[in-house]
Amino acid sequence: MSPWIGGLIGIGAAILFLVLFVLIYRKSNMFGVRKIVLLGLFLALAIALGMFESMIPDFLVPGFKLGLANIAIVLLLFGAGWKEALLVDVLRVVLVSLLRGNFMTMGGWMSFAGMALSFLGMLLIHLLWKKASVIFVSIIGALLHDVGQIFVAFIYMENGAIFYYLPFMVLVSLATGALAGIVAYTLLKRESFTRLFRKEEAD
Amino acid sequence: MASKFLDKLRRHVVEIIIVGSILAASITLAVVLSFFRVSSSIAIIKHHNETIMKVDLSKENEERHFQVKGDFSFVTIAVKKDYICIEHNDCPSQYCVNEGWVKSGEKPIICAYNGISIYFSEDSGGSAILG
Repeated sequence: MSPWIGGLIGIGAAILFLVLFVLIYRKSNMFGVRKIVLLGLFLALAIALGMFESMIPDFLVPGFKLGLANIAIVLLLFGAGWKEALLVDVLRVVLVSLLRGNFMTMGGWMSFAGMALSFLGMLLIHLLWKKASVIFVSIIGALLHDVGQIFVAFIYMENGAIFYYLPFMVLVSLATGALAGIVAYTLLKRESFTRLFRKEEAD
Repeated sequence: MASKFLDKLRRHVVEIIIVGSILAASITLAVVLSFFRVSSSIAIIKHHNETIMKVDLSKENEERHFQVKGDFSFVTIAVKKDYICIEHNDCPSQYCVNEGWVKSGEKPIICAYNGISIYFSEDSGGSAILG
């Protein structure tokens, strides 16, 4: 892919993000002090978990990740709401890729595509299927994250050999998604944790 | 306690079926791919969609090394009788290098960082063997 096209896609994505941000959050009451602090904490948690898991080498399949950062996103999705989870997820991917030095590179695009597809899948299931459990939503998120990454890699590589790894990545993502889901479920069961998200709690 | 657990399972039957189906399908595919062998000994080395080289591994008598240009750096490939590997690569993950020697007809070796892929195909297109 030529650098010009890559650059145009990057600028287009940034403009799209800004437009979506304004549309989603323009009437939101999200920006009180308490909410900002809470989102900041979850963002820091997601970044820390993301940086930690990026230090673990790919020993099972290429792009192997424990999906620890997704715990923070699932917690926000079920605890605070989808807008909060979306904001933290996007910021997390951007900041982690800046910190790792792969922003606007293939690695960064793979992370972004994985995040976008994963969040969209989790959101649709969470909104359309009220009885869906935390663990199931987390598993689907992990699964779609890997599928999104494979598809970006396929578009970048321009040949289908990369699909060889898909079944192995699906197996790993089922396990890591379940693990993250169990952690999120355990925390969300605790009243001392879900209290964080209640609006009426005084500081 | 057991009845509580079964109760919980019953409430999530649909989820269990969906995840179970995906698990079964991916295990089946993974097993098939692990044991599937292409009968060709011709390794096709591509940079994105462009074929750089085709090497008939059955005709390699001595180990030899050569470099191909990737997106960010040169990739050193080694071949010997019936085997090929990526010997050296400057990619951050080094997954392709850690794959080691891959036997003819086995799995592909992918370096997504540099856009290099090595795979075996029965349809070698009858092109001349280069390199």
